[in-house]
Amino acid sequence: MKFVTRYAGAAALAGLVAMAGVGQAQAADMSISGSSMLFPLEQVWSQAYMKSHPGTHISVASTGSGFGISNAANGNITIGASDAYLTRDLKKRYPSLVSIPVAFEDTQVIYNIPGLAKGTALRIDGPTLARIYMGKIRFWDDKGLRDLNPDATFPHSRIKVIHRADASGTTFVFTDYLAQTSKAWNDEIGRDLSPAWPIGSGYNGSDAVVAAVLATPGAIGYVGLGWINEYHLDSMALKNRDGYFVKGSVDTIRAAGKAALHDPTFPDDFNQSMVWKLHGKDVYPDANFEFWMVSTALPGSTMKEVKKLIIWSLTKGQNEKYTVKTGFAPLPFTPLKSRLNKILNHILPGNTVNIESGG
Amino acid sequence: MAAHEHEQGDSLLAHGDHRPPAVAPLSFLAPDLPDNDEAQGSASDLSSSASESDLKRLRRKSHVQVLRSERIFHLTLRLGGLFILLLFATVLGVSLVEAWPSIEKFGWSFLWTSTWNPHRHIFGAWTYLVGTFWVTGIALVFAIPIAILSALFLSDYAPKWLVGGVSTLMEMLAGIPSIVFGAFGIIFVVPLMRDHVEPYLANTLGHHFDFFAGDSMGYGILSAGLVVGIMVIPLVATVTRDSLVMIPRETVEAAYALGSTKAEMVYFVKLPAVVPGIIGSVILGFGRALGETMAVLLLIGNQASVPSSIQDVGYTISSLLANTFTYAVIDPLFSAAEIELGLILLVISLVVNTLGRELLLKLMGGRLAGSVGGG
Repeated sequence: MKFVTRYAGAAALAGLVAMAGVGQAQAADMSISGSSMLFPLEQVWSQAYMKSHPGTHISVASTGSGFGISNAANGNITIGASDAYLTRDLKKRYPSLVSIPVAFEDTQVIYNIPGLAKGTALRIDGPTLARIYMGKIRFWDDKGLRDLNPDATFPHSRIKVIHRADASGTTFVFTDYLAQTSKAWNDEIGRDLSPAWPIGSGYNGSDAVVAAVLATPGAIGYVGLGWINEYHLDSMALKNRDGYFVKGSVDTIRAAGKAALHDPTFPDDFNQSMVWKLHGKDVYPDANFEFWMVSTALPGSTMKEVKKLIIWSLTKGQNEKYTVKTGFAPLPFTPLKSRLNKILNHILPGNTVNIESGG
Repeated sequence: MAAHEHEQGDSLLAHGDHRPPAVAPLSFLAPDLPDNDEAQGSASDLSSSASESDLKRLRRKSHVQVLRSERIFHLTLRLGGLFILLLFATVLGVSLVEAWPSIEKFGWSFLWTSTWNPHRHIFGAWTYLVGTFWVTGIALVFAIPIAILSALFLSDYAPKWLVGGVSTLMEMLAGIPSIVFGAFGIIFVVPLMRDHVEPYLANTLGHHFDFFAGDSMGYGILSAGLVVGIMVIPLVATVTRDSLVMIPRETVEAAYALGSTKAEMVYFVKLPAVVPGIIGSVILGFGRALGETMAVLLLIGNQASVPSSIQDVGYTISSLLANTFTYAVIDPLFSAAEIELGLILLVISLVVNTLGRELLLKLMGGRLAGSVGGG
């Protein structure tokens, strides 16, 4: 009996080792990890991709953009997902990383103002929003807010500032808008995935932010397009660079994306925020790219698979049944093609890529 | 140790009439001897007719086997003990190494700096320390009286049929995952605080003391503290009840014999006798409240500011780590600062536990030593 169990154990162990060996030998194994914002889209993508590419296995995890960036750089994961572009600091720390935009997202301001009629269109600009988030505007009937919204009647109730507690790409995009439009915000707090919030209360994840805003009379918060659609929330129209007040939607985000890619000064490697910088009547000023980070140090066979996946994601994957349904706007392709080719050539030199059409 | 066992074994063998067991205890731990089957075979012959020399050979073999299995057993135990030591040293060592950039840069001032700005590379623990102690304090202030009263009720006043049920419920309560309490806090405690308790506090005590005023968010140190308190109650109550049950019957009877009423007996005899038990359980509860993460994270409002009112939001060390550690790994100084926070939490609980144990020993030395269980 003793011998039997011992040998059975050894056999099982050997089997496990063999299986692990097989798993390593299979090149079509990829892991994507990082941004929790991009996670829902990656889930539907990986499902669809594995269906149409039998033998490929993709594991997806939501671990936060920071984890995605650092682990893509050190090779623990194949693709790191990030809401933020590679800033100069990050590029210096992780020189092997290349960022590829895979979808569009945005950040929108939501509110719960007691007594305000449902459906009232509210407008706000960057400096006013920054003053609210710095605790300098404390009541909803503040003069700054009333001047921006002459038609709305605000109650004299306290503004309760709500923000994210975890490090989040949504926060990065939101604080980017504040930093670009308000000098005080830029000097004192700046843009970050997890900034030092001067006031307010923090919640873990966008769902919790929505719940807290809905439950707290007088609250103001921010979430991405996916949550606005899912919970049918009202959001404020933000003032863009040309002075227009634009509400976030798939169309206005795409307009921002198109403006960025048509802008000849926009860098080829997309390593720049597109928040606020863009001109146009219907350009939403707080939209951003979602990125995949890939290390150029990946072994050749893995890289081939990664590239196949990226090209699929940028073409078939941009279909609205994946992107819009999970709260993203598809990338516009005409101006993207040549720039993207440069990047893809950078991670796997010698091949040209044909991106025919987008969603 | 092994030599001692050896002597014992020898003396056993010296008595001729003492038959060694046919199969040595713990023989499953012994390595296989090549002639194992033979030994087994001769053991089965033993009952019929075994010569004297066979018996001696068998005894010797069995004795060797016993010794060997003993030794292996001891070695296994020692490895287990060593593993605990190693584990502790590793946790401490790795944390120290990883936290070193922060320790080196900020020194002791880390403790009382209230700025935490990853963007500017300034890190200080003060707001998180204060938040942690606020939540722990509110939890204990809320939990201890309720727990002690319920323990007294269960041990002396509750009818028999109730005791079993309530005690079981209390133990079950202690086993519920904290996230469940956190969810309960969001759907029940937060609305209750926001709509009733906090406005009431602000309108009564709040007029006189800023400590009770505020804007009634629902989320904040009060809700977090109360929910952690709910988690601490079963812990303190069960340990206190166990201490009460262990009070010798004679002591109680002596009190009655001296003419005290039931209430006097409970108040003057039982309660003082379980003070060490209560202190022990409070220390346990303190440890639980200090490290509680998920429920606090859901309820406290996660804002790095020093609360000035019971209605304010705050931040604890453990919820900060849970919220931002995956992001902090991107920056060596940031992650070092967070690990240093974790180290501080570790040191606090070590100090509290040690102090608590010392205190307990001192108190137990004085009265009713040995009759009272503690933490």
